[in-house]
Amino acid sequence: MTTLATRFKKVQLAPQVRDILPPLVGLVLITAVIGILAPTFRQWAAIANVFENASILFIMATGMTVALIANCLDLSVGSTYALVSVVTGQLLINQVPVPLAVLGGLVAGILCGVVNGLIVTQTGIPALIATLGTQLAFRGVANMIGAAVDMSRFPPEFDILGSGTWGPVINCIIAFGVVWFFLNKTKLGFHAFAIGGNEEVARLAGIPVNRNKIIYYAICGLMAGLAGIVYTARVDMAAVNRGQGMELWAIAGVVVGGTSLVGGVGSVVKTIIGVLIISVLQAGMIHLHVPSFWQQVATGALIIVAVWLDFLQRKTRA
Amino acid sequence: MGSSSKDQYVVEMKNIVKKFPGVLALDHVNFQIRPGEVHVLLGENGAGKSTLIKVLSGAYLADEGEIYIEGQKVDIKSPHTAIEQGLRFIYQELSLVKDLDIARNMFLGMEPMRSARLGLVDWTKLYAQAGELLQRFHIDLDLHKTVGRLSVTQQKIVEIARALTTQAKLIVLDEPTDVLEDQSRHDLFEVIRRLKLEHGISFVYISHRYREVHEVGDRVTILRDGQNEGTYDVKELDFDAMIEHMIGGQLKKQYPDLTTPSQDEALRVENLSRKGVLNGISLTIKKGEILGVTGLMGAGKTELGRAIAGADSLDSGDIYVHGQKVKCANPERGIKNGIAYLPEDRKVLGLIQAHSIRSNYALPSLDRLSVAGLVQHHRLDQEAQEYMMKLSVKAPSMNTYVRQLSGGNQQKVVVAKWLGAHAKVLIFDEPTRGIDINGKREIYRVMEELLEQGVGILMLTSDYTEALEMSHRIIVMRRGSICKEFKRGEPQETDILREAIGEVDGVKV
Ligand SMILES: Nc1ncnc2c1ncn2[C@@H]1O[C@H](COP(=O)(O)OP(=O)(O)OP(=O)(O)O)[C@@H](O)[C@H]1O
Ligand SMILES: [Mg+2]
Repeated sequence: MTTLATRFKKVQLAPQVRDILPPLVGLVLITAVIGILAPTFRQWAAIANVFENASILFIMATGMTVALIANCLDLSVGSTYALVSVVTGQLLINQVPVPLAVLGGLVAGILCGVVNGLIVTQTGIPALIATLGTQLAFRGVANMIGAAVDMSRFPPEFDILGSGTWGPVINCIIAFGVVWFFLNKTKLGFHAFAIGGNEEVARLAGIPVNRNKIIYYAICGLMAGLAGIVYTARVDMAAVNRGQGMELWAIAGVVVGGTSLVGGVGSVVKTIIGVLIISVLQAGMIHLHVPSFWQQVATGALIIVAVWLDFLQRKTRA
Repeated sequence: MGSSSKDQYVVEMKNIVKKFPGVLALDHVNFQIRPGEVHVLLGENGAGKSTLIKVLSGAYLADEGEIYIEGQKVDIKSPHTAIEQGLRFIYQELSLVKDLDIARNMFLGMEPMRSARLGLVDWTKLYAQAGELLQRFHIDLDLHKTVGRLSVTQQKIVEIARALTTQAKLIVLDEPTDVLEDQSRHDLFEVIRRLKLEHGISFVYISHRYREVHEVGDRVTILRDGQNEGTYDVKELDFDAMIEHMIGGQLKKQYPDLTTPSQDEALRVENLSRKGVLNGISLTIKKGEILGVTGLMGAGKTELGRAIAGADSLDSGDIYVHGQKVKCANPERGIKNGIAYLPEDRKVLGLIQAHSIRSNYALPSLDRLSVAGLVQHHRLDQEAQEYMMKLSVKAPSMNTYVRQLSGGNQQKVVVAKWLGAHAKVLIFDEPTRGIDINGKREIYRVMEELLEQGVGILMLTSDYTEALEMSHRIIVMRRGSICKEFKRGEPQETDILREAIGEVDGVKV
């Protein structure tokens, strides 16, 4: 009796586990259903493919996790992704050493984020509108830099960043590690939860809300940039038209994992699961020969359901 | 005169002016706080108390005036500056992040660091210290619980515990005891006394529980209509004089005489149960009768009110209004059945902050005020105006946004709103909490009027005086059950407290 009770207590003592259980169960179920229905999905190659596709989206989604936790919506990451891709490409074809070129690309990503942060905090324009604007603007800048230029055949030291299964996966691990550490160990990361939970309360507690928001946007831009670099290395080519609509996939991955769209709750561990759900679903539908427009409908529905679940949860919590 | 001498004041505010559209909230206010004193700030609803301390905290910027901290002029531009200066605040509105857990809320913005340079938080230390701080209030809460899951009272204690650190020079408490019951208030005063004597920390204390002034205060400053009416030693100022300074005149009779209720019943409740909170509650209220329900925090008063009004579901039990059996599956059904509930957590549940007084008033009355689906605006205007006057809501007009009102005036609007619903049974949950002395009297007068109209009133209150003075019968609840019923004039406050605590020995009063 007592041992049973203490055991239940033990189960309850790990809220981290309890929180990720629903999306995890969802992931397992979806994978199982697709695995049963589509024999081709059961091969190692197909699974490896899911991971490779998921990895680049995941890198972007780690940054989005930070931003959404702090209630800093960012719709410009798809354009940042392309912009960083062409900035890095330009640097590489101009013989800039690989490490410097990568650094240059990442700085460009950070700058995109800082621009977003400055607009949102200094003008008070809602993030939705502000980052919709910069989505267009960043794409424009990317076009200026790279529209008419052939940027490919990069040095192999660069391509290694995205090649095979390991290139992307190692970058994923780095992105995950950085964001996990940031959110769980640092003061800035903790304050993201507070700001997303209630901005006014955070301000009254003496937290420099505006400065922090700029930092969260910068991290979001940085990770979008890293994703752009990994992708560029993977296909050995930089192109301006990449990443269109990718912001929605990234947001979907974060939200489906269980991070709140309106801030305050979330974790990057959840984002792993969320991105995997999205990627398994995408791949699964291809294996099941679902027409592409139905794929879009299904993904859209998934996002809506995820946001709805988040609202239901908030209601019971309040 | 005194700004240069370092020891004289911890904080000195000079000639503070703060204007809001249509309101001069602070009119050249001077306010000085000595080291190691508890300085009570008194004034009616809307007098400017909260505004004054928000200017000090950097939440608002003053239009004019200067602030000196230990003799040094300080420009407080944001809450950050104030906190750096060693000032701590508990605001009248709950200011916690609902999504974060208790411990994290308590150290928000002041996290103990493992490495300041790398910005790493020391979580172990944070949880340990949070536990110690809460201990002083004798409440046992899981520090990992998210604050949104706590009751209003528990949230307030978390907030108070958070501000009461030894690292402060001055701690400001804006109506902290508003939602607290006796034991927690006692704990709070104990902690204040200790911090004051042992650490020399000063306090500014705002409250509408005027008896507390003599309990904790050293000096009092009274604000009236945004002006400093005077600063006094608590010992020199008796209760009546204090009230007179505050309202600028003689205090009228506070409680009306209650008339005898009729024999017809307004509400009958049989065997109401809800697992874990209510056990088989039965009661009746006659038309024109006030039934007071009191008890400690967590006794189930609010739960009882919510269950009758349909805000919470029931496991079993029947409800009759005017003898007719009714089913209230939700508050909307409750209102249709003639039961209106005025919630205790008015900030969250009671009002739409971004709407005007008028539209908030209209919400439950729209059906009544519409003909063929069209709102009769002139009738609405007239009624809203009337209730604003009746309850003396202090606002430029009925089109003022609710969020621009002082805390107490917002509460009056909630009351007005539900009075407009023309219910047969009104459930008041803490009707006068946070309302000033005149406002209380107005609310009691309105209750009296309702009784004359044959309304039955269920009054849930933790204010024993209110329960004694304003009910025909008093029920004491303990752990979800009714443990005692008194007739009017029968019990003393101590009798009620004894029943509420549920033990005969060792009762502190
Ligand atoms: N943000 C605001 N916008 C406009 N007017 C405001 C605002 N805040 C306060 N006021 C007005 O300033 C005056 C003083 O309000 P304040 O909140 O300081 O009163 P208070 O003394 O704290 O009252 P209470 O006891 O009800 O809390 C009121 O008339 C109020 O309507
Ligand atoms: Mg106030």
